[in-house]
Amino acid sequence: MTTQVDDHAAIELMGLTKQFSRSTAVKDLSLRVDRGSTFGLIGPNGAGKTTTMKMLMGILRPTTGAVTVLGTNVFAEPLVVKQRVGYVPESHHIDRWMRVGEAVGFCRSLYESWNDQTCQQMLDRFELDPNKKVKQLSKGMLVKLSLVLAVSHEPEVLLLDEPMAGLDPLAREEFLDGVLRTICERGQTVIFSTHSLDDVQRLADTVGILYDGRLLVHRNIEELLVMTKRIRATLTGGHPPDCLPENIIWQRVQGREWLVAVGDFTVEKVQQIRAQEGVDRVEVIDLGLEDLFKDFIRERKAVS
Amino acid sequence: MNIDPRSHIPIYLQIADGIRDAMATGIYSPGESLPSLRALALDVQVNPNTVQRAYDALAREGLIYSRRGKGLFVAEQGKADARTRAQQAVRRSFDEGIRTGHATGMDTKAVRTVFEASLSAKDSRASNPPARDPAEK
Amino acid sequence: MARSERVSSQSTDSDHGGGATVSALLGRPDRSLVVKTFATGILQAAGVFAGAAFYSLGLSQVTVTLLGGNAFAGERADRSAEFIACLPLPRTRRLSSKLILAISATALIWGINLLVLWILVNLSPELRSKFNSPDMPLMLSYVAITGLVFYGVSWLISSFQSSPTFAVVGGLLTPLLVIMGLNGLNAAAWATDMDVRSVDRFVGIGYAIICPILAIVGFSIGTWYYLTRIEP
Repeated sequence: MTTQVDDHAAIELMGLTKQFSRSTAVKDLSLRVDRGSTFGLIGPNGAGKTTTMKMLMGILRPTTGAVTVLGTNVFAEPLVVKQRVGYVPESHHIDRWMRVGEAVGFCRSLYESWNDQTCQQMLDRFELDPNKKVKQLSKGMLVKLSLVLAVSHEPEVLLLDEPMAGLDPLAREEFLDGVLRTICERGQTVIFSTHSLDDVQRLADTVGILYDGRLLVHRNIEELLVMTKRIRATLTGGHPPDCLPENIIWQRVQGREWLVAVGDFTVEKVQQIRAQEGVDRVEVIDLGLEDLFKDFIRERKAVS
Repeated sequence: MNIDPRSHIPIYLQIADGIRDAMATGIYSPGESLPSLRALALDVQVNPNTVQRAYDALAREGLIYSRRGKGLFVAEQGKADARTRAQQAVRRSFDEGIRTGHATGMDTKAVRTVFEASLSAKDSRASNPPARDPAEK
Repeated sequence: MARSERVSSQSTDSDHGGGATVSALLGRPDRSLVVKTFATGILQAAGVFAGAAFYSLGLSQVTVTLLGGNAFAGERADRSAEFIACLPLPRTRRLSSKLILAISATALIWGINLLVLWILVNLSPELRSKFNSPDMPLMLSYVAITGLVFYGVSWLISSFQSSPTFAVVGGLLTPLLVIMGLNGLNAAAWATDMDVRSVDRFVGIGYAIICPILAIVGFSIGTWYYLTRIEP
């Protein structure tokens, strides 16, 4: 199938907005994820992650904007997209009266590319009993079943919405193992949303920070860690210098302490600050993902 | 190999460091094969792309090489790099100490004094082993 | 007259009441009496059951309404609709499975009840005369029309609501609202010009016209909306 959209994009969101009656969940979101990469969408609760994931899957209509998955408009051809995409939602509503085996059989009948071997291997590894009723499954087992159902038809894109929320550490590890195995085997594109920074670090190649419906940053995770640093300096004059470095993410002056987080860090920027009047004892602090995340959000909070 | 997702050091670098350490301590000897992408990714619980980047970094340094169809192997200079590696680790610790000193208002001279005191304390402990009887102090 | 006299004299004779009467009857050489007694019983039962079958048919329309009301809202209420929405299952397929269920249920209900009625009617000449009057088919068609409007409206409400109860109640209330509306219309337009019988006829005809239309409209809009909706 030839498409007009670039074939390298796994997903493409353009100017996506979702307005509910009382609030705007997603504001003018534009995002592109390349095939074969893993993209982590992080943000606090209420940032709009689940809303975005639902629109990606085509089960929620955006107010404005376009959603393209694997070159196909999700709302024009929903069935085509659903054949090629696997989705693990935030809350699981597989029919509770069904047995595991029946749920599997039901899904198998719907997908053209269902792989029985993959399915069985995963069921075995997760120790899911085909005769057990869905309502008897623990949360961890239910999430794992969702993963099996999402992955067994060999999708090209896997969408995971807060997949490991509320899982005990063991279940979490098993689920993560399942996801990693499928990435190793098929190299498909994975897009997941989470508020756990540990998960992002382990899984993601690129990361996007979503806050209050807006995408604050979208960058390769290693680049982000290396290029974003905090500078701490003592301000002898009590106010920041006149000439500020470019790409300041956040800054704060408390007494004589000046903290400034910069993206695109270079040694020159530090020297530039050091060279200025009223600035003393300049120190560079490396940021972990959590601090980085907080700095971006703090800035956004201050603005809004 | 334990990686710390909370650290500011990107995971691929942590993995590369881990492998270098393993080479230095002889866990991976020259000529031996390294774990496959998949095996290491599942073991450490990270994305295989990240492991790939770690291996790429090591290959760029000449520490590992790939044989088509057979995987990745430790290069001869793997062990020899141990010394450089150790030096780098020490250097990093020193940098950290200096940073702390500066942050608390110490100047270079003061930091050097502390450094020398540490070194000589370590030397004196080496030449005067602690008494066996705790009562003798 | 002789029969009843004999029966009553027998019952006063013995202290064992009914049991003694029956065994006395059975012991009698006059078998036709026994047959007649049982036959009378059966006829009476047939009358009762025919009435019951008729009421059953009426009440079964509520069952159909439950089906209509739960069609879409039921899945949303237990949220299994969200699970299904993520699967590559065309809505037309889901729709047709609901339709098949509703049609089979309706056919079953009507089939069984009509069959029972027909059997009972043929058992008793009394019933036959009662049921062959022009009133019977008319009443049956009104039951059918009411059932249709129950279903069509509950189907419509179910398509955009997530509470099946709301859909069912809405469906059940519709005939009442139609009748009230017609009476109101009549009162407003013609006031006291019409006598009671004419009002009845007006309402009756109006009902017979409006309800099927409502049913068809409700059913069509509900179906169209469900097929075009994006959310589960």
